[in-house]
Amino acid sequence: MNDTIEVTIQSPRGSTHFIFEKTTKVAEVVETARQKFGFEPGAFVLRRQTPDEVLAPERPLVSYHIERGETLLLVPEMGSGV
Amino acid sequence: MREFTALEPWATRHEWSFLWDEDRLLLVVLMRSAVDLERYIFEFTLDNYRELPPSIELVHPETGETGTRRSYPAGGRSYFHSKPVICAPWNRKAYQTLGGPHSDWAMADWASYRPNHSHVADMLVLLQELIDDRASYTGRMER
Repeated sequence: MNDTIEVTIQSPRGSTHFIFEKTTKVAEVVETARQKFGFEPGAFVLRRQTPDEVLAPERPLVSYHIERGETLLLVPEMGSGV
Repeated sequence: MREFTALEPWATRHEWSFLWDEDRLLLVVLMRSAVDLERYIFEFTLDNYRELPPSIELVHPETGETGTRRSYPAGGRSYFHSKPVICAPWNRKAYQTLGGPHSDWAMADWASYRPNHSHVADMLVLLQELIDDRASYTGRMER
C-alpha cells in the first residue's frame, strides 16, 4: 500500500510538486510549501479546486481523499485594508 | 517581468487579460468578479519598484475614466477605500505624501508591513480574491 501522496501546490510565487505522507496534517503541508515559496510566517489558506473547499489545518491529507497529482492552491490570507 | 511567470495558472483560471508595457513599466490587468461578473482594470505603475511600492489605479472598462469611484469596486475587507484608493501599504497611492489617507507609514518600509503581499503577483491574486469575496465585496463603488 502506498502511504504517500503526490500533489502540485500553486502559489502566487510559483508552482511545485510535493510528496507527503498521507497522514501529514494540512498545517504541515502549508508550512512546507510556505518555506518552499519563500513566504514569511503568517496565516495561509490551502484550497482544493474541485470541490472548492478550504482544507482545515488540523486534518490529515488522507481525510480529503485527494487524488494523486491533484493541484492545491496556497494563498496568504486576505487580511483587511487599513 | 519574472514575477509574472508564476501567475500563468492564476491568469488562466480567472481569464485575466494582461498588458505589460516595458517602456513605461506599466502593467494592466483586467479581472472579472465571480460574484457579479463586473470587470475591473487594475493599472500598476512600477517605476522604482521594489524600492517603492507599485502605484495602483483603476480604469473603468467602458468609459476609460481613471481613479474615480465608478472605476473602483466597493467593500473588499476595507481595501477599497472610498477616497477612492486601494488602502494598503503595497500601494504607493495610499500614502499621504501622494494624496492617500496614510501618514503613519514609511514608504521605504512598505514591503515589511505585509510581507506576504509584497510582490506584484501576491497583490494580483489578493485583488482577485477580494472581488470574489461574497462576504465583503459589494459591487462597483458608484454607478
